[in-house]
Amino acid sequence: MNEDFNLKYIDELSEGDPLFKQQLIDIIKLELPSEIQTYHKNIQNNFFLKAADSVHKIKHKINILGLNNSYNLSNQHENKLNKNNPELHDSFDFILLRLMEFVKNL
Amino acid sequence: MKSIIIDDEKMSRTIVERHIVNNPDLSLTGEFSNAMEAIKHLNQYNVDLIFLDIHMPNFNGFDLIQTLKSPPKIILTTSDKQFAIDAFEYDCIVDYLVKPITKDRFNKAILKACTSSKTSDTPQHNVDKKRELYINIDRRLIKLDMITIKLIEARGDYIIVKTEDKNYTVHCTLKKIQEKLPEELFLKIHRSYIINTKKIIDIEDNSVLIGNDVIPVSRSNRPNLLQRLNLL
Repeated sequence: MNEDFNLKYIDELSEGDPLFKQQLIDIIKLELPSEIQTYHKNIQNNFFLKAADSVHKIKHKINILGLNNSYNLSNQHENKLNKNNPELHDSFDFILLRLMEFVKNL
Repeated sequence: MKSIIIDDEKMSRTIVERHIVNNPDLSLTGEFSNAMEAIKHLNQYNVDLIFLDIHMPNFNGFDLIQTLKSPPKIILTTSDKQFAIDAFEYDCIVDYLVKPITKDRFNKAILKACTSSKTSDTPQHNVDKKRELYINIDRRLIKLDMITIKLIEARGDYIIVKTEDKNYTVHCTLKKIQEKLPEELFLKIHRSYIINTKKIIDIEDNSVLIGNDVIPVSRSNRPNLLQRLNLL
């Protein structure tokens, strides 16, 4: 998953409005940690369907931050979790680590 | 168009809100993080357009559409392309936006919503609205205003459509005509009768009076009839 995060979508949407851009970044910073925490909790408890819901929420943010390949993997992971199959957890978890690192520095 | 957003994710609501605010054809009258809150709003206020997320916990977008008797225009917003096929099942859905939603794609959807023939009437408007039904009588197609129909009676391979002015005998089954009638007005109360519930004069035991006709109500259909009534 050698691809870089970017703010292209957020910049396009903001159209030079720094306040709106910051509003979106703040929402990501606010929501993402708890969504990731919920995801991990569900995985640990083998609540795979609930974990799939968490992935669904997180993948939208992954998409917004320009990670197309990671988004595709998240989709596959969500679909597999909906079939009680967590085999893509490690790959997804690696994306989450990078995602959190990027978001921290925003 | 008065519009509302229904989406459990704050991020998505903020993005759609931004697009709405930037579009001169739209005004935002509410945003909801769950379907139940939105249903309460829809029962109280007129809404022309709903931006509806499909994937929500407990009560998803399609569940919500099914609870609305006469839904306004709906634009689905989703991260999942696979639901697009299901969307075609609903006449009220005018477009399907895959997240993250871009300005150009959003504006295209609004253009579709503006030019879509589907009206954005509230349920009450739709009940009152003149609706037409064409029936085939001796190779002539005769237009009936559906709100003038009092009842429809099955007679073998034929049905008798009784209107305020006239009765028509048509070669058709009760089941077939029922599919053409608006559910909010008409109800099957017996295997041989469909009635216009707005034409009921009174109900006594297992019969309904409509005009001069006393129509039997079968035991199995009685609960459906009682559900329709505004009982004290």
